[in-house]
Amino acid sequence: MPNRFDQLAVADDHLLLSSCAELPVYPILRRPMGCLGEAVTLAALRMTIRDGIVSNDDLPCPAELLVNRISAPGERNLLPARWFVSLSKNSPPDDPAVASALAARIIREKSGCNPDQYLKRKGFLNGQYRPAFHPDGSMFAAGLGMTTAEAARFIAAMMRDGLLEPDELPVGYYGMAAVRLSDHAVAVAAGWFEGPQSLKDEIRSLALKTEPVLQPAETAGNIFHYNGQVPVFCGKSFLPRARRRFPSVREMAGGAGSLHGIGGEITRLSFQLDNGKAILCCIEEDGRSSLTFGYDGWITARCPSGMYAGKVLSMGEEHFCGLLMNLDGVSRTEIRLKTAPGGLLLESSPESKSDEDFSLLFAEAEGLE
Amino acid sequence: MKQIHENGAILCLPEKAEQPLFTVCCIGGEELAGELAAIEKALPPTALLVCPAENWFSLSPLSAPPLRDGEPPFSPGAQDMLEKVHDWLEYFAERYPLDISPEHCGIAGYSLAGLTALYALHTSDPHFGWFYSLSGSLWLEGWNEFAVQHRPSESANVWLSLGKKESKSGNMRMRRVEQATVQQADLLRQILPENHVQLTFHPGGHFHDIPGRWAAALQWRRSACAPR
Repeated sequence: MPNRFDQLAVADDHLLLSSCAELPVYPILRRPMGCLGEAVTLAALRMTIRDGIVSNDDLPCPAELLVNRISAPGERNLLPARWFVSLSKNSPPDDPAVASALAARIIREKSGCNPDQYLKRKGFLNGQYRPAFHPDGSMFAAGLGMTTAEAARFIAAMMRDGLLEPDELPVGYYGMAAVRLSDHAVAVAAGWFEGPQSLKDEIRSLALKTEPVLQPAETAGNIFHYNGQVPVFCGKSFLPRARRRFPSVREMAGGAGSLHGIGGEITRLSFQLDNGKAILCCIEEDGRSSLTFGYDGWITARCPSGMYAGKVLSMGEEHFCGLLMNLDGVSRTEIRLKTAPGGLLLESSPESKSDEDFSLLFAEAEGLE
Repeated sequence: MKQIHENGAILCLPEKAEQPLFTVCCIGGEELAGELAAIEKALPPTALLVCPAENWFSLSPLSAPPLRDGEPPFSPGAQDMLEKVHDWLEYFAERYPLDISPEHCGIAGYSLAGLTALYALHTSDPHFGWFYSLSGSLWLEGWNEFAVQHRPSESANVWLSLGKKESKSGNMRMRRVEQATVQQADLLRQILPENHVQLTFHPGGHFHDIPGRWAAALQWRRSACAPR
């Protein structure tokens, strides 16, 4: 079976060098990536041992055995029911997930913080990721919420300090895989990997084809720019600030009422601003939809729930207004985005009376907490 | 390609576009929609509005005797056809994603319909900035004089194409087509910027590889002049 690559990012320990992604998942958008927790735990374990905070006596087995357990290949499942017992006994773990959780617990006990927090204190991670342990002790997760680009920069930094080798990361079916490209550069892929044997060669090959990333100007503060002739979006991504009930793509584009509400509600939504177009990415029960707005005309898109077209109507330094057309129901919705306290406010006003207005607050992906 | 049949015309939209759509009104029979759908993958993002002609012989800009015995004479119906095209353009633009600014909107036709497109050019039709005449019937008596007398807008973009063997037609009147098409290109080059006029010769006669000729026309200069 072929491997499926959703995202790929190449970075050294300072910069994101290049990236590519399958729409609508962008390399700078956060998404769960299996195996990143192991990367965080492994790096933190070695760092705490190197810093003298954790010693071999604190571990239930030799450190290398624990490392091997954590990075054992295979699909990661939820923690087995006995995980809490295993941790309390501090016995040698036989399951990769238990091994990772056990290492995280030891790091927390000895350093006073979770693995990601320890790395953050040391300046290797930014932003907020899920805690290793839920306050009620019922779940464990370490690396969720990091973007592929961030993961690549993080792994490159760990590689530089000898704390992690990309080859050590486990490869499951759904998750992340990393390959060292040079002394300083690493390629990180996220996707569904059916054939780990060919994975590394494919990642290297894909990494060679990725487009170089233009490093954004440090001073780029505005969301929207206008240079007097051409509207320029500054290449930012946004995600909703809160979970809520989303409409279906058809409802948002108008005309769902006349089509008896075909299409499930959107479960995940993001907004991408690019130089060539603006893209509203929606994941709903039926699949992914990329609703695209052209700056200088209509852009059509075939989505699981139908065919749509989008066009930018107006844009200023603090607002964006586009028209979205449902070509099956022949109905239109005005989509407005404007800066608001806490992020970017998206509002939709379908012309169809059977569809409701919708508003949602977005936060910039890079600054999400 | 999504085909929308409404109000007597057919709008063909690419299902997925990476760039804003360019609009081209194509004068032709209903079967043209199927032919254009077959070359969709070769085209830059384009909304194709197929405008059917009720009477092919009334597409002519000028009166002329019939081409063959038993056929009706050519009657000057090009202006009427253009008015229908304008109505369709307005109708579809109100309902569907069509860019009708002249910079991003063209008119095209094959054979006699190509001459109708050139009639729009020489009457400075404000709806269009792009004019495509594919194997246009420029042999029609009086056309060259009409073209000389009616100066086109200097911002127009014009594609002219012809089969290399079309001048070898059995019909004596039609054999003038190559000479007339070259004259038309020379005339336009005196008025329009050099890169706004393209004359292309394709292999074969009048009916050879028609889809390929449509594809070549609709690809012309689009990468440089497409909507951003």
